Amino acid sequence: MDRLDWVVLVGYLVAIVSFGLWAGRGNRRIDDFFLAGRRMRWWAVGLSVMATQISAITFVGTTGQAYTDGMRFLVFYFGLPFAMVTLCLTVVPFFYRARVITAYEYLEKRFDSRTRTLTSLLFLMSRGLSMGVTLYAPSLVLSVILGWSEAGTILLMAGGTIVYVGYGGNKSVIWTDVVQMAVIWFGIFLCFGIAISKLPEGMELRDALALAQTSGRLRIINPSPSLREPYTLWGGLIGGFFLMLSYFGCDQSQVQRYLSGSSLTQSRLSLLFNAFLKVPMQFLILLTGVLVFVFYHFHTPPLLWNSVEMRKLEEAAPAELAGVKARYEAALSARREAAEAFRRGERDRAGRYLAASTELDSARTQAIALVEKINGGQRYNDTNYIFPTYILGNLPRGLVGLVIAVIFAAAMSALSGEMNALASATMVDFYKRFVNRGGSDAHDLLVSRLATVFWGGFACLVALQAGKLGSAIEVVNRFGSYFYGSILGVFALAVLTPRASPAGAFYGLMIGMGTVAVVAQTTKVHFLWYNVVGASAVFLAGLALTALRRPAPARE
Amino acid sequence: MDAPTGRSPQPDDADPVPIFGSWRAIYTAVVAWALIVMGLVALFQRWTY
Repeated sequence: MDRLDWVVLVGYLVAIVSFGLWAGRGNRRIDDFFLAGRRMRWWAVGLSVMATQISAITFVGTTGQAYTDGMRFLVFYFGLPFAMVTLCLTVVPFFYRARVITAYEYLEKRFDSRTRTLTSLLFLMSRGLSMGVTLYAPSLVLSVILGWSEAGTILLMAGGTIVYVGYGGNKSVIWTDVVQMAVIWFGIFLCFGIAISKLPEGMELRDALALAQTSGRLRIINPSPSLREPYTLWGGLIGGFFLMLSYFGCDQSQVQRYLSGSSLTQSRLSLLFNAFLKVPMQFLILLTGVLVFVFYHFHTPPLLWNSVEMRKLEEAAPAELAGVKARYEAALSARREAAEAFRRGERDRAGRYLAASTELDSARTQAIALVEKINGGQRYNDTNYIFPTYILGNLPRGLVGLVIAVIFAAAMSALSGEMNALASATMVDFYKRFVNRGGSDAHDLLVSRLATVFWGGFACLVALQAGKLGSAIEVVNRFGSYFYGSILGVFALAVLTPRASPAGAFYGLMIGMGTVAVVAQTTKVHFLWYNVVGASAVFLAGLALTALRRPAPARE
Repeated sequence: MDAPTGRSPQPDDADPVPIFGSWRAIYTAVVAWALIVMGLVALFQRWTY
């Protein structure tokens, strides 16, 4: 990175932390700290909802995924607009009118305290651990690409966020999210524009899309009814619908955002704002990744995108690597030649192009197998390194710093919302019920701030240890999907069926989680369907248990 | 359940629905937009460049 890039990055970090501190002043009660005094407008909350969902890995990982796998990941978001409308019609009015701070608080009003405690505990466990991974993943990428210290990057990202969220609470979260979202949007358009401008001379966007289409990168809609295939149209529409219902309807990191609206109308509008913008935004990010893919037809992409692993491989298996490299370079040259012919309008060369691409992929698979072998079988995936490598090698001075600032913005906006949500669940669902019910406003505010610092520190601890966890990270990532749908089932019981009993909800939740665990362990059903399975199992089991345990009518 | 301390009084919900005028119109617009976007995506995928 150039000095100008550093000025841009450091300037951005200082500005965002200072702005967060300024925006978050004036908190007097926990209502202010966790719900921004319930005074926010829909557009600010809407941008905050969007920013909380976009992590740094969403930004760099999605472009990388488009490079390696094409744009089919887009269907993941197809269920989102329908989920937003459903939430506006169902749970949002219930939450809002119940005057709750956490989503789980509503479950005590509707069922009993054990259902509230269990769901809140599940949220704390899963979100606490996943926040650590959210922090670790971009830190690892930046440390490999830029040579920064991994621990230093983790502490810089989390430290800055803890400072403003710990002081200003949700007001700081929402207003910094507004700025961060503007920075992210600017970054997306900038990267998209640069990706187009970097196409070889004489190659238009249409030619680039034709090449991407030939390679299969523009295949998005797959109508296969298979439950095993990832990212099918039905998986996106039905599985994605349930996933988004769970995430936006039952996850405190999102519920807390829209409960900050100054009225029910403002809360609903913030969600509908996302319903309009989310799919086009993801489309643009994925298309940028596809253009990067086309760019590397005319420039040399590395055999492995993770340079640290590449160096390890060079030292551990130089002879085997030399053979793979020779094969890779030959395939690369053949693919470039075919792509050049494609650019000249010789579209009948598609067969040769595809053969060269298959050979290239095969050489890379061979290199990946070598890396996995020297790492004792540990899975290797370098998708997240593609986009940062492209940025660093091809963007002009100053803009590299700006795009790295975008990655920081994405990481910090996700972290800030999660930190504030974890603190609110700790405070409202546990501390104020089991430790100190009658604390003064000043005391509660102090404990809320300490809870924020605690969760920020916990995320750092998980992130610093994550490198040693290996495949445990995958377990953490999958952990949430085991019970997300089941929690949705409990909320569906609460909102849709006035007859559902507390015992039906509690034991139904257990049955739902057990069902998902069995499906996950014994079948190859794609994880997008777990939410459908969990929610349906809880709903049906809850209704059945309610019917079974209904007291017999009194005899006259 | 005791009402936790530090909560604001009940707010009103008299805010008008901007641009669309009614909830029915805005929900219809969201669903229509989602379908249009999916249609455009399908067209983008099938288009011969």
